Amino acid sequence: MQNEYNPIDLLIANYLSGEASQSEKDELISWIGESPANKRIFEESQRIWAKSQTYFAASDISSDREKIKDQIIQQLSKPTKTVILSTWIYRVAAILALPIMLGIGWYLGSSEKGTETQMCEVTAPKGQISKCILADGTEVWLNAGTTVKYNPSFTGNTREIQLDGEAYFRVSKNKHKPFVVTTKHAQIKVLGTVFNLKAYSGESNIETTLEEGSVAFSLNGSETKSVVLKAGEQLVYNIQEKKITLGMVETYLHTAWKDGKFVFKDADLSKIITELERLYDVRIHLDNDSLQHLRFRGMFEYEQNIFSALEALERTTNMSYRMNGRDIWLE
Amino acid sequence: MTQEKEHILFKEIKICNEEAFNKAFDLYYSCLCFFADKVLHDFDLSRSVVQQVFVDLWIKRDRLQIVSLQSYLYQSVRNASLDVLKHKKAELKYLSTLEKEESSQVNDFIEEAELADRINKAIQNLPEKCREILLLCRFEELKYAEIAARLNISVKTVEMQMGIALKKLRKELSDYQMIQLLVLFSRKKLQHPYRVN
Repeated sequence: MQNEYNPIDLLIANYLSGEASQSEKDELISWIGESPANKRIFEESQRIWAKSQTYFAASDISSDREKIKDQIIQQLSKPTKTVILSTWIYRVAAILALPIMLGIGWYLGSSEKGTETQMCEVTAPKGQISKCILADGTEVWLNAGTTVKYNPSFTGNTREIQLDGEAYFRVSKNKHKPFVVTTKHAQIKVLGTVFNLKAYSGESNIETTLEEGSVAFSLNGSETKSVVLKAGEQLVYNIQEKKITLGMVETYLHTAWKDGKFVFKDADLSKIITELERLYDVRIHLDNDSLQHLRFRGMFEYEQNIFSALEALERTTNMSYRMNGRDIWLE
Repeated sequence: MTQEKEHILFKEIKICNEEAFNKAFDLYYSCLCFFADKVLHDFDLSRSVVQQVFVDLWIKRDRLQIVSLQSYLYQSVRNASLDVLKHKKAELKYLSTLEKEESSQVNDFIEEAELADRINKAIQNLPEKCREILLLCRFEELKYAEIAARLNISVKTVEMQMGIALKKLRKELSDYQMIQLLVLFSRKKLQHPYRVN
């Protein structure tokens, strides 16, 4: 290093850092005046000095790289608690959306044509749970990947809401206006009660689980033939076999999701995979189909990220996982 | 990096290639931080703004239609920085001038950021002792005598190392004029570079 010593650089450095004596300054000025090349060297040095205002150390840059990776993992694995609201057919005058737990409130401007239906649509995207409060005070929790549609002003003789997915309802009592939930294959009519309805299109079963009160379940097109459920009962309708099964269940297993918990007792891996895919918006592939019959009991919390769920599976079985983007393979 | 290579880089990112993402980070991260700093005048804040842009690049890669990764990154950092400023509702006057003459000024900012980044990289490449002394002098604004005392060396050594540092930096940056011309030339082709669906 020492042999790179150059008296002029030293002089310029002294000048720029304010350490030059008067005689050094004079010496530098006369050197600059000697040739345009000298002048350019001085100006370049000045520029470098002026433009180096912040030092960004290589170690800071690499720690930022890690921060980015951590952030990405966090954002990909944790369900975010936002609510996506969209209007359908007609614009709703104003919508106030707040994060989950605060619920969503909306205000509907006076409709210009009173008889036109203005439908409102609320979706909890994959990986998210949303909660909304309807105009009549009914509270609805939407599980990940669920959409509900309804006329927000509830005009008419019933309070109607369409469901695709899974929702937990705490219905406000109104004897004069029954609350009716319609799904693709069936409908549930209630007066005022607490129940869970799971009817994702693409799944073979519709499950109605009743916590309090009573509800009437009927298939679309045969509303007069209804099955009345009592508290603690669950009705499962198999769409392909057109078969209804009614029985007592531990309702908490079916409604815990609204508290951000996925509880399962003696569930097979394929069921767990379906839930995890919905919850974390990932695709899970089994390398070996025989794995899907493995049975589990336990609980995941929605707050946990996908990695802790996968690690829990790894710990309890001899499976291992690998991940690429949103695809996960279990073997 | 040519536009074509850049395009390949983004394509690779799109198909989940982490190496390509790392490469984009190496190429642009520090420079973008200097760029954001031109707008925000807060280097730590600038770093977090740019980090978020990279996080979004990865998370939203499926939905991004990018012609030039570089233009996309500068544009995103610029927008994010302006949002931060708006949010702070600070420097209102400054913000309005920035928005008015934005394109010319932003281009100046890009050039200044590129220069700052090159100087920074040159400083990173200095021999350790040399760099340490320069940092104490330039960024901690210590006097030669204070540096000498802190490092337990002679003032003469400090002086000499400063001279060496300056010479090396000048040498590393001697090709900068030419590079700047190339950047200007290529930037003309990078209008409206991206779209988010």
